[in-house]
Amino acid sequence: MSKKMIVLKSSEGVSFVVEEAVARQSKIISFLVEEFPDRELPLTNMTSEILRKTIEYCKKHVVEDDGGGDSSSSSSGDLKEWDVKFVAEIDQPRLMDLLMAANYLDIPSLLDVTCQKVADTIAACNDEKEIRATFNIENDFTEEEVEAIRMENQYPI
Amino acid sequence: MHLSTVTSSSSGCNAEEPKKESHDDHHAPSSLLLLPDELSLNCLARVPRCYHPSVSLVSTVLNRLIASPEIYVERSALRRAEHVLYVALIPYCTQTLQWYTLNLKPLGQQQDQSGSSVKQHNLVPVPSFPFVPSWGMSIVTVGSEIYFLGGSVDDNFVSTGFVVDCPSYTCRFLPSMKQERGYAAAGIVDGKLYVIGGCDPLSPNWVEAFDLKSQTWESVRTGLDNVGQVYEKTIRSFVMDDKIYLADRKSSFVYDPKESSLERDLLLDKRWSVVSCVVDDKLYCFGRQDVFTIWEFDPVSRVWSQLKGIEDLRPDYRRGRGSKMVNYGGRLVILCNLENCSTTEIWCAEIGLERREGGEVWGTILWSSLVLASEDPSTIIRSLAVSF
Repeated sequence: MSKKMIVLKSSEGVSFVVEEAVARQSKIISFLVEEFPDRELPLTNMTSEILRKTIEYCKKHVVEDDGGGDSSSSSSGDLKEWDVKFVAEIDQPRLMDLLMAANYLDIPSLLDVTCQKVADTIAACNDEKEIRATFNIENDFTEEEVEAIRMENQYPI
Repeated sequence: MHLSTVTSSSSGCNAEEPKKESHDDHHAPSSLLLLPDELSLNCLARVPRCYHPSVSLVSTVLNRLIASPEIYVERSALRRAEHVLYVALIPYCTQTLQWYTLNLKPLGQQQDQSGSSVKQHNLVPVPSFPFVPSWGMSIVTVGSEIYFLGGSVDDNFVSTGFVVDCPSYTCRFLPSMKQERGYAAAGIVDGKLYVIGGCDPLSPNWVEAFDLKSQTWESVRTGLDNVGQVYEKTIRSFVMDDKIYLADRKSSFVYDPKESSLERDLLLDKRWSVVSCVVDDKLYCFGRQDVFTIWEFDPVSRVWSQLKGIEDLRPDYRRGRGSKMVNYGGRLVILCNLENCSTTEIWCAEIGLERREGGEVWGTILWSSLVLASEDPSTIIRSLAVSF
C-alpha cells in the first residue's frame, strides 16, 4: 500500500512532497490536512531552508504504525543523540528561525530541543558580553542601570 | 513581540560584498530579542539559576524577563525548579531579620585572580522579603512557599500564620490557629502541616493540623501520654518516616500523627544535636565531640553511624557559632559564622551524600567557601531550602 503524500510549499514557492504521517507531527498541518484534504499547504512564513530542516527532523521522529503497534524507526537513546547533532549543526540565526517554525507549526518536541539548545548556548557563555555577541543583542542599558543590577545580583550590603 | 532592529557586527555591513547571497538578506538578523516573550521565556526558563546574573545584564528585555514571575511558572511547568538556599540573619544593631539567598557562581566562572579568600558563592540580600517576627516562629517550606506559624510579637506568643511565596515575596495570611504558640514543633505528614506545642502542654489544642490542600485547620485528638514531660519550647523538630520528631532542651520525642501517640526517644537523645537536618528520612547532625564529625541516624534500623570522607572540612565549622545544617536538594549544606564579636564572616560548605556497599554513608565536600563578610556582627537564625 503506498503511503499518502502531501505537498507543503515554502515562502519561496518551492514545493516539498512529504509523507502525511511525517507532516502530521505538526499539529497545525494535522489540522489543515483534515480540513483541506488533497490541497497543497502554503507555509508563507517559512523559507525553503527552514522547511527542509523541519521536514528532516519530522522524518527522523515519525512513529510508524505498521499494524503491530507503534514503532519508531530509532530507539529513544539514538534519537536523543541525533537531536543533539541536529541542533549542533545549525548556526545561531537559523536556530532561531527553526525555533519559530516549531512554534508556528506546533511541533512540541522540536520546540523543546531548539529552546534547550538556546539555553545551553546561553549557559556556555562566560559573561553577558559573550551572550550579546552570540545572540546579536545590543546593550541598551545605561551605566547606572548596569551598576544597579550588579549591586542587586552580586554584592552583599 | 520585540521588533527592535538589531545591527549585527558580522552581517550588518555587506556593502563591499554585494554578491554574497546571505540568507540574512531576506530578513532582519535573527536575535533572541526577535522571539515573542513566550518563546524567550521558554528558553530562559531552561537556563540554570546560577547564570541569571549574567543574563540580566545582557539587555533591558532579558533583564525584565529573567525578573518576571512568569519565568518561575515556566520553570515549574518544564520541571526545571531548583533548590534555593535562604538564610535569615539577625544583625546585633537592628535586631530585625535580614534574608539572604545563596547565589552560586557557575563552574568555570569561579576562578578569580585575587588569592584564596575570594568568595566563589555569595549570600545576596533579599530586601523585598516580607517582615517576619524575629523569634519563635515555626517555619516549614512547601515547594516555593515558606509557612510561618506563631512566634513572638512584642513579647507575646501569637496564633497567626502566613505564607511567603518565593521568589515573588508575596505574602498570604492563613486562618489563625486556635492556640498562641512560640518555638513550636512543626512538620508535614500526609499533606497536613502539624504544629505541636510551643504552649502549655495541657492546652486542648497542643497539636493542630493544617490541611495544605483545603488550607483549613483541623482538630487533632489530644490528651496524649507523656505530654507533661515536654518543655513548652521546642529547639528543633523534623519529620522522618511520617513521624514528627521534636527535641526540647532536655529530651527528644516522637509524635506519630496516625497513631496519635507521643513517645520519648532515648536513642535519639544519645547523639542528637541542634545542628541537624533530615535527608531521605535520615537525620544528620553535628557530633558533640571537639573533633568535627557528622552523625547519621536511621530511624528504622535505629542505628547511629558516623559520616565518612569529610575529614578535610575546615575544623572551623565546628567552632563557629550558630552553625546550621540544611537539606539542600539531597545534599548537606553547613553554614557557620566565624564572627569575632565585631564582624560577621559566614562560611558555607556543601556535602554530597553517597551510600556505599554495606550501608556505609560517605560524604564528599563539593565546595567550601566564604559566602558573606560584613563589618556588622550578626547571628544566623534560620536557614532553609526553597524550590522554584
